[in-house]
Amino acid sequence: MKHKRLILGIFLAIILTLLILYSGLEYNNYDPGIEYILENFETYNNTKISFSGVIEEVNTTNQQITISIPRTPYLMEIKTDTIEDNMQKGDIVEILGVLDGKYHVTAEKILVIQQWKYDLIFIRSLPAIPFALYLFFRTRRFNKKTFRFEWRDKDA
Amino acid sequence: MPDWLTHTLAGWITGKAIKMEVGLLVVGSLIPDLVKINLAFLYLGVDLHHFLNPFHTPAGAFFIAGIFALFFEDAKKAFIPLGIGIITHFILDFFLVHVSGGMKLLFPISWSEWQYYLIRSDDYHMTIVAVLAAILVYIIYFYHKKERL
Repeated sequence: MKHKRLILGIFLAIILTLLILYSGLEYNNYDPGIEYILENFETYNNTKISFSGVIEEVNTTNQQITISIPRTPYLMEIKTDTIEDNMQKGDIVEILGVLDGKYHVTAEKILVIQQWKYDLIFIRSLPAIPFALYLFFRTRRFNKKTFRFEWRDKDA
Repeated sequence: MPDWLTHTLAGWITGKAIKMEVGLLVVGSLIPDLVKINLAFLYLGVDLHHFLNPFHTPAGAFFIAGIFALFFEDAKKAFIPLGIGIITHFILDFFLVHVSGGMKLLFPISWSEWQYYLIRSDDYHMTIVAVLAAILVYIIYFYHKKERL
């Protein structure tokens, strides 16, 4: 019984590993990231792309915003018809548009998340960790000998 | 993503409503967001998003739940609430607004993405609704329990 469980665990872990490897190796072929798109600019020139970044500059005169791509040296110029009043440096943006220059996109859709609202998502998430741990360990405990989670109280 | 508080509260409410082990259901509701482990890797300067993405697909999340369930006496009984928790997670995430794309619900069979753009991920009203719903369920559950005593 114990061996059956171990074999099943190894089998599931192998499948999960294969999924991870498949995703990692094929991801850019199906859902390319902006870094891959810029490295293969000729392939994606004049195609519709989507990506996200952080606003660096808002130019209302030219109806253009400059965004940086986190963890890359790239700065993208985004041409848009509608610059929202509340767009500010540091806000997070999702862009859908046509790549019509190496670092230039004409946007069709822009989704702006104000920086404080973005940070608030993470702050709101923090209480969930102790909440989940409390609910779980209120009724369960880990038995180091059997290497299993068991009921704290058989009647629980 | 909706915040984790919304996910855990949705899991807790579901667990109370269907009378299942809430602890496991709440843990299950957070399993797909194990993909956020990537934040730790990003801090170390390594981006593993493409590799970890299967965690945020039903197939990947259910495999993780399957492995976790093996650490319980009755693995099948543990897997069910974990799985329901995962489903609550994907239902909530399904309604998030993006400019394009969505969730790869049929990965690895298909890379197609599905989403119904309804709620912005930064909309904290969703969290408030979840908190109020949880309080309501708690009150109902509390009085129901009191009446039975």
